[in-house]
Amino acid sequence: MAWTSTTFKKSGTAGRTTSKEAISRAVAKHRAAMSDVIFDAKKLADERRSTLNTIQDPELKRSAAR
Amino acid sequence: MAKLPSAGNPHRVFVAFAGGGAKGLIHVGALKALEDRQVQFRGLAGTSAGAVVAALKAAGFEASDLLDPESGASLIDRLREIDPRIAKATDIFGRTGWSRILLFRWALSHPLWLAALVLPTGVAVPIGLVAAGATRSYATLLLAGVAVLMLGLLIGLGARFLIGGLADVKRFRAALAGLLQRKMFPDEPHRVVRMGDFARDGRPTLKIVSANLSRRSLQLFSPERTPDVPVADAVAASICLPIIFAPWRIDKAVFVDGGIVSNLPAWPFDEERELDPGAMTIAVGIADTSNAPIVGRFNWLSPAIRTALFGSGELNLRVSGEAEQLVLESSLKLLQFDLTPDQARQEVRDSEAAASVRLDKRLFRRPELYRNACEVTRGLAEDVIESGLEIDAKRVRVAIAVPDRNYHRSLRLRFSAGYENDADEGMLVPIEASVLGAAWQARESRFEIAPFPAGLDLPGEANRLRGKLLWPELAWQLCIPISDERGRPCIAIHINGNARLAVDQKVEDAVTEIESSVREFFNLIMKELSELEDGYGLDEHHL
Repeated sequence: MAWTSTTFKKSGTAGRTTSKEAISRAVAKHRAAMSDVIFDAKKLADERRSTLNTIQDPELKRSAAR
Repeated sequence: MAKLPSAGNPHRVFVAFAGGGAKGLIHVGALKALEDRQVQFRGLAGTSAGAVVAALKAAGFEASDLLDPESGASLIDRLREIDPRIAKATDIFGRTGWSRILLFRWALSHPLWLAALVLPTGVAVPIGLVAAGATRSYATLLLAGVAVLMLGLLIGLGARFLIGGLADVKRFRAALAGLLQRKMFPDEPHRVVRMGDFARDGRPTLKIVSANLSRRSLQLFSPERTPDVPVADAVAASICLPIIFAPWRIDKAVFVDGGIVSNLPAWPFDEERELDPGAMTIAVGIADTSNAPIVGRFNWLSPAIRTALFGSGELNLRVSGEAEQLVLESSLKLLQFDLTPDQARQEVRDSEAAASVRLDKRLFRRPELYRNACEVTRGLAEDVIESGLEIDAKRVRVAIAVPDRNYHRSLRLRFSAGYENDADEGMLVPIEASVLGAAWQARESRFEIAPFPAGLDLPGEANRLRGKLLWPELAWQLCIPISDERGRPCIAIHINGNARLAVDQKVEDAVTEIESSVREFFNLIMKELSELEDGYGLDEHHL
């Protein structure tokens, strides 16, 4: 288990349950939205890199990249 | 931290521009970057070169009116329409002002050459006088007299211009006054534009900083304090850099460049910011760390002037509290007003690009992306609770927590979704007294349900007021620290809600699934944005 708790006592029981399948389906519904955000992050980083490359003044380039 | 408006609503901003002589050209690029992000300017402030940009923007000029890198059209073209003697930037210093500034600039950068020219005269004069006395020759006496005259003239002129200013701002002041009148009151040719003409009739407020030598204090020109002062006079008073410009008089008071008292005036907006906490305050600063010479006994004057102008940036920002600082550095020199048009256009292009990168990182695209990530996480957690637990999730809220700059014992809920009007949005959470802080310190996710563990529920007198801000319905919280490649936590995701969750296998499965999905999601985001983030926390918390 990747989380701890003081107020919630874990059972430690493993195994496939009906609720687990419902939970997995609920998460799957949001995969596309998560991918969109990750794609936006990549786009932002790429565009930042290309904008930085257009700057000729070395001091401005340095301060922009900071 | 100002809450940024959602898409569709313009960002309301107060902008302060720092002084910086010729380096102030980069303000044009910064202004263009802000205009491109369709912000609504609620107030502008400036010192020296920044005062010129602030006054023109407040009057309704756009960055492209000041210098358009594409067409080459510039403020000089507009000033020339009013005063034909202004054909290039250096003409604003008056008829011979720029020549004297050039000489001064040369002397500053060549102190040894200057000494080599002056010292021989200083040695020749006493020797000539002694020789004249000894020989009683009329020719030698005449030569000695001429040398004395020349030395006296040199000292007199040097003192006159160093004390009285190498140039004056009369020409620029008059042209600026005409420009403002034509822009703001085109049908009233004799109208004087005054400070009281701002902060009314839909115009933003305008604040200009100068140093009042008569009162030996900082002078803030604003619509409230000095409504009758002509804006051109306020700007002239703000730009009179000692030695370069003669001090400027308004009535009986004498003013010099505001940079010697406050070069980055974000603080005049303190009241406006409290009245409109949703607005952003952006302080556009100019750093001057480039080409720093080795300071010796004879070349300290130039570094002293530059330190006075640029060295107090941190103090200015401390006064102003939560202003966001956009600091740019430029290769331009303080007195480099003789740029070619192509150089000036390239500098504006570069500063626009540099400002865009910094603004998108700190205030626009990256914060928007993090807020979207919070919203996606909120939807996922809500769905998992409702589908997996078959209960009403009620409200689920998500925030990204990061340490503020130079803060080591707390985390700020910086970006969020689902907080609606809750008072704990943007709250500073103490690490030692919260579930979030415990997860951050242990670098391990933590899930707790109410009543929360003693010691982690904001206990003690220090948290009394903070505890009142806390959402009273808070029933559960899941805190997920996200670490960088070196294993150091850089952000923490705080997911919480008000549904009463049972202690059973279903909830355990749901929390496990949410934790792993959200951790993977934010790990991927942080990987993509690794170049935008700094080593300590999410970023250095300034632009």
